[in-house]
This record gives sequence, structure tokens and C-alpha cells, in this order.
Amino acid sequence: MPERSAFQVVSAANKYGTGPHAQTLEVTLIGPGFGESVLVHVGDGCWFVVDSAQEDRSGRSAPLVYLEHLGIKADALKAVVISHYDDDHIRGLAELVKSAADAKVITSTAFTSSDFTRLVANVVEDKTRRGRTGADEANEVLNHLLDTGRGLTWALSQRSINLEAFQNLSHGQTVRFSTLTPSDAEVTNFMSWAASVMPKAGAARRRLPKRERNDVSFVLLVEIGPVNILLGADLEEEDRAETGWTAVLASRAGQPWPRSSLYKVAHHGSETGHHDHVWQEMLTTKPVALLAPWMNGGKIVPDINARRKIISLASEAYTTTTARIPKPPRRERAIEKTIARNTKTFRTAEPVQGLLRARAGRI
Amino acid sequence: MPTSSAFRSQIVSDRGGSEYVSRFLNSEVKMALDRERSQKFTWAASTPASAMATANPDPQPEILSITLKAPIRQPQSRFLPQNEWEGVVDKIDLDDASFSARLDDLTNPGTPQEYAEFYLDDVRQDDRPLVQVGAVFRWVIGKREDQFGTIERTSKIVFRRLPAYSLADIEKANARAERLSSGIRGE
Amino acid sequence: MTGQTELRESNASVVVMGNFNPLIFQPEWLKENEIIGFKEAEKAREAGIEVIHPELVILNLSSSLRLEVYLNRFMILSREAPTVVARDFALKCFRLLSHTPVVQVGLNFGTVFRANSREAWDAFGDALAPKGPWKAFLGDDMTKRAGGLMGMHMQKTKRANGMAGVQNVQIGVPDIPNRETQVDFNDHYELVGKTTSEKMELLIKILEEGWDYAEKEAAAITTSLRELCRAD
Repeated sequence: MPERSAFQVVSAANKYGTGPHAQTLEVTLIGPGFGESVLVHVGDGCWFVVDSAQEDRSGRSAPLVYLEHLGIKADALKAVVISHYDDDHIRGLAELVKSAADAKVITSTAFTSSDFTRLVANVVEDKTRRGRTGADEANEVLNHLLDTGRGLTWALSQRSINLEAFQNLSHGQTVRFSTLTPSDAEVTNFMSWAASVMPKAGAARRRLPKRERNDVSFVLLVEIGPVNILLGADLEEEDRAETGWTAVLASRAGQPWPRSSLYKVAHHGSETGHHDHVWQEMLTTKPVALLAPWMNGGKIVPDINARRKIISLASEAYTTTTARIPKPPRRERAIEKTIARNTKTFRTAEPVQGLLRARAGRI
Repeated sequence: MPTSSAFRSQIVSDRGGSEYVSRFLNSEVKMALDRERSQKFTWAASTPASAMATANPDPQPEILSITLKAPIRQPQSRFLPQNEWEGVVDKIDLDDASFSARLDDLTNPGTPQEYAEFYLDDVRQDDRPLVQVGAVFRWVIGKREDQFGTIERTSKIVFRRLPAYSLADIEKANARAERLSSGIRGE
Repeated sequence: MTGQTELRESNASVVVMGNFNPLIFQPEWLKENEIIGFKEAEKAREAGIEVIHPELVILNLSSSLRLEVYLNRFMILSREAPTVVARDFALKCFRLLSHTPVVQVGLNFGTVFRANSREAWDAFGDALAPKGPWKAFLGDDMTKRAGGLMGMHMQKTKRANGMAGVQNVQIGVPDIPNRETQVDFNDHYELVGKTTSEKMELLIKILEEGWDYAEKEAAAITTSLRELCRAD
């Protein structure tokens, strides 16, 4: 008989309500919106957050806005996890890191590598750019860390990170927090990419191209007594031993995985984010699955086939927002006609942001 | 409008909508300009002759005062912009002769970012070498009105010619990066 | 948001005061440094040259882009959107000519709009220059207008960002009034610094960072002025 997940998705809309009780676990997924963010309440008002997204209306960090709506201050955040660098996926990160002044900042070693810091510093040096990008967020975070002397905690393979604030909680359960990274090869790949797109003297200024691979994305496994949560971030699979899910699965060296009953589906539920053995070995028989869709080159991810697969594997599967490609906002008819005549396709770049909240009662 | 020297110095950086007086000391220039003037356009004198005489109490034949009112040459048509976006090239598809881009609406800030595919044919020849991933362009939609009042709806894509990175730019940025890499501790 | 008016023209320019060698600014040089394209250079050579002289160069680089360089003044004017090309042009030129002595820079945005009716236009003029104090000059019968406001100049001497310089807004009408009004916004900076390179660094910074700010200011002021053009 399939195990029943401890989690119940209590809202799938932007209705905030009240915060969780001291002994209630909560996993809230916000996205898309130039990013995707996961907030987790482990008990007694202690939270951690993975990544950031930009709140649609205000442009602020969406997880902070969510906590504010619940009347929760940023100092409730005990850890900020930067699971990967993607220009589009870390908006609002600087505000988040600065506001959560006492939180541990957990990220890949790539984040302070020379190749990456040089890339970021060169990109932000270009004052002909409009608006704010991921490079600006990363630059602001790095400068904040340097100015305040705040250190980083490295996300290494199978590393269990001790968070003092998560000990001795009133529910009496032990909280284990582990980062699962593919391998050092991925860090090397990322740094090679950074070096390859580094601006060169004499080259015309261009905007930083999107990185197609999420090299340094790592996964989080959170164990709270009998309840486990797997946060898949943006990890993708390439059928290579040293990268992606294959590398993560192999990192346990044959030891059985603690099985998670809630899964934040990797890489927006895409085909490349899927690995059968994740569902077979790392998750309970029919977990609750949460995902935030994404637009990739005009196509919604997950597509219909990927959605069907997830639905067949999960007891309940939720998405933060609909899979429809939203229409661009209305403009004067004459302008819309001219747009249609002069473009092959024209659409809004991102689906509207949504929020999913899953809670597990007293554990 | 009367101009004191202080007033003039404060507004000389405007494009010429107000008075701007340039003094040329070389009679050769005066002759060249006279030739140009008779062939191509008329100079607009913005001060009456009487005011010119008082302004220049000690005239020398070789000194020419030229008053300019822009635009010197009237355009054949007017372009009335209705919507402008800044775009960044995301992908180029040479087989399909198209490129896709993310767009920020500059006319209506706050509009969610948009995504479009354009035809490479719609990019003017001079700009084709600039169509690279990450390249920045402006897309403007508007109405063009000719001197007869005929109106045509039109769209134009203009790629921005941004300055190149200099060695000094890169060295400055790298020095800042070095401070970050070596100064942030990790455990 | 734009009153009872119709936009007729918008333009932008960068004017730099300093010491220049106009002869540098020829189509070939501009093309070699990728400030303009190949065809633009060709067209400029064939039909765009108005003057090429050691003390003055005037080039029409397209139907909408005009360059004028004197010994002490550089101007690049874009008569059509996207007007940011004027800024990019100036930026590229001065990054290349980094040893040029420069002393002032103006970022200029011009708009011409036409009121939809005589009444709306009169309302605009009356809002800017109430006719009460002018009764002795213009008469007090407002139904038989004997004239009115032909121009105005407002100046702000303290810029929000604290940098040295002033901002000017000038309003004018054509010699033959036709319900059109021209509004010119000039964001004028003094390039303070001890050395040529300090002043040039400041010029580059203003061109890079000040353009968007000036454009927004100009748009806000022009919109608020156009709003005054309303007949009851």
C-alpha cells in the first residue's frame, strides 16, 4: 500500500492566511517570476529558503514578501541556500541575503571562484545596461559578504550541514540538512563556461548569454524525524556518470536513501530534470510533487508528456501556475497589428507567478 | 531672447534650438560656407541686423558670425513613435533566417518581459554583423508621415553600437573581483 | 496623459563643449571604428556631407542622424526614435578620443506637439502665462486674442544627483503659429576635474549613466506640459 504523504497542500493560490504553528512543517514554492524559490518551516518559527524569485508586482524578493504577509520577520530565516547561478533565477537574492542577516549562506564553491567573480564584475561594470540582472544580484551579494565579513558555507557532495537553530525544536524531531552535489566536474564545467563568456578587450559590449546547463545546481535533502523533503532545484540529467542525477544517485555508494514524501520536482518538471531512479530510490511510492513551470524559448516546461509522467508517479501533483502561455498585455489595436505583421511570434516571456503551500501537521 | 554671457554659457550645451553663435577667424572658411549656403540650405538669422551691429562694434571682414537653428535640413518625412522596446538577442536560427529576443517595453515600463521572433531580413544590412547572442537592439513601432500627409505604419529594428571593452575596464573589474574571491571566507 | 495633443516630432542630442579636431569625424573614420556601418558611411560620403573643413564638419549620416563638429563644440543629433543612437555614437567617439579636452556636456531631448484645437492651445498658453498681468499689452478681451506667449525658459540650478550643472526647459512656438509647440529639455553638466582625463572620465560616466535619467526627466516634464493643453 503506498505510503500516505504527511503533507497536505493547503493552498494553491495567492492567499496567504496565517503562518504555520510551531510544530507544523511547511514547504512553500513560489514561481516562476525571474526565478523560483522554496521556503521551508522546520518548526518553532525557524525557516530556511532556497533561491529567490522576483515578486511580480513589487519587484522585491518574493519569499520575503510572502513572510511579511504572514507577519514573519526576515530573521526567522536561518539559512539562505543559493542552489545555482542562473541569470534569470536569482532576482531578489541580494535583498534576501541582506535581510536575513544572521542566516547561514550556503552555496557552491563556484560562487567565489575567480572565473565567476571576474565575469560578474565585468558584466556589472558595463553601465550601458538597463535594469537589473542576475549578475547585479550576485555582485551585490558578494560585496555584502565581503563588507560584513559574513562567510559562506560550502555545499559539497553528501554534506550534512549543522544548523544550530534547527536543533532542540519543540516537536522533538532531529533536523538533518544535506546538500547533494553532482561532482567537482560540474564546478569545473561552470568555471570553463564563465571563462568562455568573459568580456574581452576590444570586444563589443553584449549582454551575458544564458547558460544552457545548470552546472552547479545542487539538491537539498531535509530530514525532519520521519518526514523527508527532497528539493530538486534545477538539476538536470545528461546520462553521464559525473554529472546530473546519475552522479547524485551514485554518491550514496549503494546505501539506501532516506525516502522523501514531498518532492520539489527538479528543473520545472522538464524531461531533462527527470530520472526514473530518483522516483524509485529517493522518494516514497507516491509522494506529493510540487513544481513551478517555466518558459524556455517560447515553450512551456513541463510539456504535456512530462506532466502526465509526473501525475502518474505522484499521489498528488501541483503546479504554481497554469501551463498556458500568457497573452501579451493589450495595446492599441494599430500597434498590435503592426507587431503581428513584423514578428514571427510575440508573447509574454514568463507565466504569471503563483504559490503552492504544503503543510504537515503535528509530527 | 536677450542673452547675457552667463546665460549663453549655461545653455550652449543644448542642441541649437536657442541661439548659438560660432565665430570663425578664417576667411577661407567663410568662403566655403558661403558656397555651401548658396547650394544646399539657408541659414536662419535669429537676430535682426540692428542687434547684430551693436553686438559686434568692431567688425572685421574675415570674422563670420553664424547663427544656427536646428534642424538645418528638414526631413522628408516624420516618424512618430508609438511603442519602443529594448531587446536582447537570445537565439539565432540561420536555417530559418530568424532570431529570437527578450524584450523590455520602454514605452510602458512595468509591462512583463516579452519574447519575440524576428526575421533577419528585417534587420538592415549594416546591422547584420551585429546580430549575435547577447546583442542589444531597439525595436520601434510607429507611423511615418510624408510631406504629402500620407501615413504608413512602420517598424524598425536598430542594433545598438555599444563601445568595446577596454583593457583598462577589464583590469579594473578583475581587480575588484580578486578582492571578492580572496576576501570572502568559506567553510 | 498627454492632454489634447498629438506628438509631431521627438529628437535627442548630445552636445559636448571642448577642443576638437573636426576633420577626424569623417565617414571613413566613423566606419573603421564601427560607429556607423558600411552602407551608412557610403551614403554619407555620396550625399551626406554638408561641410568638411578643418574648423567645421557637418555630416548627415542618415535621414535622421546629424553630426556637427566645430573647434569647440561637438553635436550628434538623432531626429527619430530610437534616439539612444545619439548617446551610443557620442559614447563610442569619446571612448576612442579619450585625450580630448572637454569642459561641458548637454543631454538634450526635444519634442514637438500640436494641440488638437485652438482652444486647447490657448489653455496651454494661459496656464503657463496667465494674461492678467498682460492686459495693458494684449488687451483684456480674451475672445479676440491679440497675441500671446511665444517662448519660455525655466532653469533648475540644483540637480537631484548633486552633480554640477543646471537643467533647462525651453518652450517655443514657430514663427507662424500653427498650434505646434516645441519643448526642449537640456541637462547641462559642468565637467569638473583637475586633469583632461578626469573630465573625460566624468563625461563617459554621464553618457553611460545620465542618459536614462535625463530621458525620464524630459518625458515627465513634457507630459506634464502637454497635460495643460486642454479645452474645457
